Amino acid sequence: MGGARGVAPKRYLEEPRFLNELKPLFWANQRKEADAYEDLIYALHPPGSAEECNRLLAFRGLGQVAALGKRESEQKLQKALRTIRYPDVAVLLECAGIEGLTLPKLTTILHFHHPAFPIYSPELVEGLNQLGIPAVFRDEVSEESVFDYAGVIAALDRLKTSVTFENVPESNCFLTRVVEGALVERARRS
Amino acid sequence: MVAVQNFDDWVSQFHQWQKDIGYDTTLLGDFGFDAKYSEEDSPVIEFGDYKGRPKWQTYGQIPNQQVKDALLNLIVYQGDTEFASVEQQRHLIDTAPSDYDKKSIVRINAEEMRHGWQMAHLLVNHFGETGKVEAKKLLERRSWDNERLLGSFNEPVRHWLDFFVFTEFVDRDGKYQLKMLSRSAFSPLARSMGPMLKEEAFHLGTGHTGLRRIVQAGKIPTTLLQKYVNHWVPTAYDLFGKDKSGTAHWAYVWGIKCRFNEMETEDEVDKAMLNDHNRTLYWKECVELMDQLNTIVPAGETKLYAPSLKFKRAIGEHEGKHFTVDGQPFTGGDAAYADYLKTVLPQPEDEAQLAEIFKTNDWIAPKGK
Repeated sequence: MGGARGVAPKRYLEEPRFLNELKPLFWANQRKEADAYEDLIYALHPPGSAEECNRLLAFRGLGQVAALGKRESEQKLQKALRTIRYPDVAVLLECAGIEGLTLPKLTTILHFHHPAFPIYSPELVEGLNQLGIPAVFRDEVSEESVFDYAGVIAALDRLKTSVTFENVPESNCFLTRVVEGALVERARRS
Repeated sequence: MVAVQNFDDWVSQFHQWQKDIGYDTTLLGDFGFDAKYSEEDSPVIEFGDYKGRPKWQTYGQIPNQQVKDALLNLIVYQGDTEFASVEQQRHLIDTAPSDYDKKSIVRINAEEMRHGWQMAHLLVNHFGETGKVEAKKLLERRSWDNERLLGSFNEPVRHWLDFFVFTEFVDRDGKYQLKMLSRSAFSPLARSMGPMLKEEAFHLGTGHTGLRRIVQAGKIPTTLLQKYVNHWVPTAYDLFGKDKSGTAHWAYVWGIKCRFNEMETEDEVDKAMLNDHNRTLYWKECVELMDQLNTIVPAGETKLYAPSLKFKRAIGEHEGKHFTVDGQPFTGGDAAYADYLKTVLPQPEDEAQLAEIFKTNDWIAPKGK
């Protein structure tokens, strides 16, 4: 298990280092996102319609999902958003097959409805990998990618438990968002 | 309520308390009420006369009855504030200015309930029959009947401006109290503080962000906002306890409650001035918070400030004395001082003005809305 004999697994070195830098990394990410996060989080009135979800995606620079305009697709999405319970993500599979709806887009919509869920992105996965935490990025909504997303949530939950109170910023963001934002910023800097 | 024999009994009474105060528990979703204990920062006592000795893991290891009574008192007072704040805030859920603010207040309420749960867990599991009686009493006192043990927690939180000022300043006192207990010689108490402090960071952030959003929106004049700061902050100063406190002195000597900056300072401790020391650090932090908000106060609006430590105090050296908000002795009689207070504290006409402002949701609109 782990690396060469006598070498500590990467996680045991990088994780404490990351958690000690949680505050500055988080605030740096928040400053970059600022409008694209705060203007949305207080403005959204769930459950968002397809139009509102597409406006949200456009505001976040992710483009739109034309297929959400179809009644059946909108209903599938809203049902998933209504019935999902943290940390169980299986219900997201109901949205598989909505053309153009990737897992990053779906989890963006999910996060702004249920802030305990992280936004799944290549940067978030890279941030976890940098800590020695295995995670895989897949763009499509599929059984494999939803399973990967569940793994990301579990990893973030562990980081949330490990962080000491001195390193948690005073913020109106859920701790998942704090850790996610810090990981994304760390990945961007590498 | 029936007597509490074990923690399961207490949990049943906790659920009854939720019903009795009219809390819609469906809002809490899957929030898990658990007692959480972090790892020990240090296996040995870090300050006071027992410094260097192993921390006490059980009630039986606490050296004498005075120390046991002091610990019981600290835990009871902490637990009392947690349930009180939910009683004060529960009616605000339906008037949340946004869906996210509603999620925030529900999360804060849930976590305050968990903090009370944590204190009850300590009382029931470590403090024998007395602890069980006190844990039960935590659920029997009511904020609106002026029965809670500390002044701030009997004041009504009337609306969302009160809520943001409360979470910014009164919860911040909570941060100080929890941190001062986080190095306690009684290990279960010390280990309770880490998870509570992590959760408290969200409460404080909610308060400060809320005030920032209000200032940015520019609909509530800063002179009006200031009155609510002047109302709540002195109650938070009082929460630190009396000047030259014997209780604080002995809590330090026994290693159960340290200074706020105990682990960060090399300064010699002045055991006669512990409450004043911590209160001054708190005041300095309040000044910094106001300075942060002042960077976004619109041009032409009055800057915000933290009122003086001498203003409107209900305990200690300045109790009941006539000082202005900036700490100057007020020259004038009682009637003149009462008139002065009307200019710096919320009045019925201020409440009426706020009620009008709250009718349109742009008093705390996000930027660009």
